[in-house]
Amino acid sequence: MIDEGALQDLLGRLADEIPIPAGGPDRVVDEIVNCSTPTRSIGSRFAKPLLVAAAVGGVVALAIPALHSSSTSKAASAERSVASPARDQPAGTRTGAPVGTGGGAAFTLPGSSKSISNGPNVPHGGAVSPPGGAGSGPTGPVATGPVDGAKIVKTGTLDLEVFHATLRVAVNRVSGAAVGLGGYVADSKTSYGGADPTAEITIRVPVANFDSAIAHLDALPGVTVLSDSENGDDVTGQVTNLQAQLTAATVARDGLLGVLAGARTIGDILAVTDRLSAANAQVDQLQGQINLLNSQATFSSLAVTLSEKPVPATKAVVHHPQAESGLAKSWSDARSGFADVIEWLIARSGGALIILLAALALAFGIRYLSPIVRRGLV
Amino acid sequence: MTDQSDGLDAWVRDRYGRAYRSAVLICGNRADAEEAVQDAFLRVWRFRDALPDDARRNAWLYRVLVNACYSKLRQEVPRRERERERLSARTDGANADLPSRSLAANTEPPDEAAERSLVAQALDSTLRDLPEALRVVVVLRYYADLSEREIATAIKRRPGTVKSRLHEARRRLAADARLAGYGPNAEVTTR
Repeated sequence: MIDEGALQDLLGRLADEIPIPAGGPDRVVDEIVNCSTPTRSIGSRFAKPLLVAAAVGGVVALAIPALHSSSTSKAASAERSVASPARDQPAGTRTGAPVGTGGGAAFTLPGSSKSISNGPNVPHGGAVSPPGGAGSGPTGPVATGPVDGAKIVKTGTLDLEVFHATLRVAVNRVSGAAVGLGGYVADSKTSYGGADPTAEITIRVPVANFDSAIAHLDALPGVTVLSDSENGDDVTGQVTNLQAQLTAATVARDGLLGVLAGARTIGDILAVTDRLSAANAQVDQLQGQINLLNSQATFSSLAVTLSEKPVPATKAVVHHPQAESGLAKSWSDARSGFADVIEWLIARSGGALIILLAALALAFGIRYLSPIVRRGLV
Repeated sequence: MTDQSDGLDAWVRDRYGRAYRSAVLICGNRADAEEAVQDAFLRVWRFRDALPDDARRNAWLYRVLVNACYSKLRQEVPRRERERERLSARTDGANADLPSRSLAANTEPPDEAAERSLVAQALDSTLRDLPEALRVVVVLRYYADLSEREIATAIKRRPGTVKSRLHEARRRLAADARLAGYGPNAEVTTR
């Protein structure tokens, strides 16, 4: 047995002869720095639209007081609350929205078809709640967005492979990881039966915990990462633009409400009502888009696909219903085996075996039958 | 340069040499080793917030590095086979930089190769013949200086498995007559 100290010494000597590439560390640092810059490049790419949106927002904000002074704001607010019920509105985003659209709305994820989770934050019945319950909204203590206020929609995929018969455990671990990082399971489709059990889980975690979630899932025991991808999209400009549009649409709707209050004839009332309905629909649509983007920017989405490592295929056993036990089974096996051997021999030897068998039969006939025939003839 | 960049620079420079040489010893190929090290540093730095503890981050670096080396080895097997065949077809022996020739002797001048320790050469060839699983634990334990528990984390095996692999690796290395009698007090033959 080689001595450990000696082995360490020898390996050190061997390794010392390997020259370290000049500039190797610099290349690594450059690579890391280059890979860290996309967020900044996204910001710079959106800088111009952001400026334009901010300018539009400023003009609209200045125009609001002038237009609002002539409208009946209290009556309009009451009318708004009735006309546009809250839809897809996280409570946490209500304070930032320019127009209140009613309180007490439960947080419902758009596009979440099903929710399966053992965590306490997901109620039964298909509705999905972020951590903290419906009242606290997604912007709870764990959901801290980017520091500079930018709204980044982060999505990613992870393709994981687990050992045979450990899929259920792995699914539970992924769900537990999501809850542990302040997130939740948005969608889960699992298939434990069959030859190829798979699970597709979509978890949503606070944007600040997105990288941690990937690292955590990557380090799960018994899990092999087959592939992963991440995507970040800056929607700050889009949200700002939508908010500006929402403000303008709200102002227009308030104006219509003022006109409706002063209408005297039925024709005027009907005409204003039609336009008011269209304005309400536009406000609701814009509000919904803003809510969706806020939700996506608050909670990142990570699609995790789990599959089991394939087990080595075993030779299929031919089942013979007639010969299941005893001598009948042995006889059946023997016949089957004999037939297999003959088939194999014929297949491998081709016509040579037939010729050989014929020659053997001829030799046998000449050797043993010809004397008998001769004796009979004599 | 920001503080973060300064920290990154120091962090990479402190660990690059040992990580790179470990990767060369495992992969047997400098290009693969450099790519593997680059991947490992990039990945660990991206997820640095998840592992604030420096010791755990170091163990994780080697875990990612080993995975990257395994990945490179899997990808490069066909190419290596071709190169090995090409090398064996030549008789001049001038291709000392090919991985099949030597783990550490890539682009090594002949005069320097002649001065290498015979024992180190023996270790080189014997190490190269070891299965990957044994070679990795030997390199991580006796060169990267990771503990058995850290190696277990790095290769996703139990510490007992690491211990048995180390034992088996040392037994195989000792099977080489040139290494069997080598010890810290033994005289090393050097030309």
